[in-house]
Amino acid sequence: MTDQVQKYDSFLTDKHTEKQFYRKLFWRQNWLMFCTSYTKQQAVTYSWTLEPFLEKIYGKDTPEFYSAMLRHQTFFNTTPMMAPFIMALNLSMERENHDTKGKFDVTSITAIKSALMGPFAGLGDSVQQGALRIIATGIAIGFCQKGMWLGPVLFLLIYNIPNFLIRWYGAKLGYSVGQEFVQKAMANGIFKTITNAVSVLGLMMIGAMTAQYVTFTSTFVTKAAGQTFKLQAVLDQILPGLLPLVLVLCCFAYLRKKNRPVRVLVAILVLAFVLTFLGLTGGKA
Amino acid sequence: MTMIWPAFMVGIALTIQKWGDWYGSLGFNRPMVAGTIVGILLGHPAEGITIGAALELVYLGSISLGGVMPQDFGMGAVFGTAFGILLSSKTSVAIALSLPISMLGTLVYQLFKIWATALVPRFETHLKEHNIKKFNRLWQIQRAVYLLMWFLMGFIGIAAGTSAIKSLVNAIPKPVMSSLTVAAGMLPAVGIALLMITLWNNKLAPWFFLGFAIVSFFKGTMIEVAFIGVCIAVLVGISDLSKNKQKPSTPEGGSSESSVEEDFFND
Repeated sequence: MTDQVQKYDSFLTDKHTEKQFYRKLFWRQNWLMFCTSYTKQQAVTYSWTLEPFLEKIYGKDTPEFYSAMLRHQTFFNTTPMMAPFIMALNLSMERENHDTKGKFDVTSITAIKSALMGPFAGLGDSVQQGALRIIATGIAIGFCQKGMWLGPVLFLLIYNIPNFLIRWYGAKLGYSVGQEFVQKAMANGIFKTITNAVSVLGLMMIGAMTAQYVTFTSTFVTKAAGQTFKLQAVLDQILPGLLPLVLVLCCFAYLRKKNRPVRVLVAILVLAFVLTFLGLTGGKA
Repeated sequence: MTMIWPAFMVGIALTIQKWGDWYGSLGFNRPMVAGTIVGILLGHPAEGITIGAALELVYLGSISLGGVMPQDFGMGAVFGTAFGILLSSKTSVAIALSLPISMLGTLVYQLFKIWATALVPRFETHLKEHNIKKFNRLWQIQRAVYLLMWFLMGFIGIAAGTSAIKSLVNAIPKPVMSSLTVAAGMLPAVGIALLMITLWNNKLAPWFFLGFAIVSFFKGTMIEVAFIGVCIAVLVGISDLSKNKQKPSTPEGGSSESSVEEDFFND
């Protein structure tokens, strides 16, 4: 294993070029989402990111360089945060292709890209959107509601520090590990395990948000037989936070069957109007 | 009151917001951040942060996955906050205004994406003609057009729309206003439900209710739930892994395999 790693690398020849490579890759990969198209999604900018490195591997304006650039015009779509790993892995394969002078099967370069982008998107989206963002939002929003600076700052830090660590170390890992290793890791279900664990965390945070951030209380008060009757007090006795929970579950049940969020938004607006005009909500408690 | 200066600032805010949405996925698309940017540029940071927070709750579950964007909540948040600050109106008005604007934003973006799609074959032609300079130039052009487009959108929207929106907002009667406030409290339910769909799995359902219970019954904070949640997620991950390891390792029985796996995790 160690013999393979220490094999002569024509691309990253010393510590200095290595540092330069990771830095340059880091600054270029951040642009990945620009020029997203319907037909090939992130493909154009994927190749744009690799451009200077391919130029270095194959030489400026050589036919090999252009065929490599065209090779990377194939459809590509994944969570941007996960892309540096795939880019660096691809570059290590391109380098190997150049060093072995045509003995390398170039279709494997595109193949590993296509094989990785799906699972990586699943993993990346659940980690970034499902866990990181929800935790960051949940923690920051309380401060934001009070108009405190700490809110947006906390959100950006909690969300972005792991984001950029994954980009930076993803690239390093992608260049150094072999493609066989990646295939092995995919086969033994590590991705699925992480996705599952992250979903648990995400669902707990969502449950907590239901209780914390959905405001749906009745302000209905009436006098019956000399006693004041407060509807909300009765509801609280049944279950604290009953109305928000029911509302969220109803929205969820509908949206799961028919993915039409705009319809639900309108329905809630209508419901709010009806309830307020009936005097059930929106009065003075 | 001239609207040119605020319009210019909102144009800048929308451009920064769109840039930070894509560049490194910085998270500038989130209403919380977008509202803060608008607030800073219009000179009312505290209002910007508060309105941003209210909008964040409405769009909590709206995420752009795989390039599909149901609502352009970033643009909705920028305009909602801007109108909220410029007309010094209630937060519920800002929310109500942001809803149609966010849908308009999706339309604008789709037009851009159609143009970007039309460019894709041209990129390839330049490569086939071995002309990397033209390839690079075209890439720079699409980036410039994308950012400039949003600046113009923000500038024109505020410069031309503010007075019309103002008279519209002033004409809202009181009962409608309190209904809007009630709706603003309820709307986060949609966002939360959308978020649930992305993570839902029947086997994992109890965790949702546990999170709800910690806050609703025991008055836990979000940080406390996150803390407990991380512990549980790690436990679930560990038990999953030990299950996975038992299955494939029986036919191969290689101990070197498992050490490679552990290396992967230690990294």
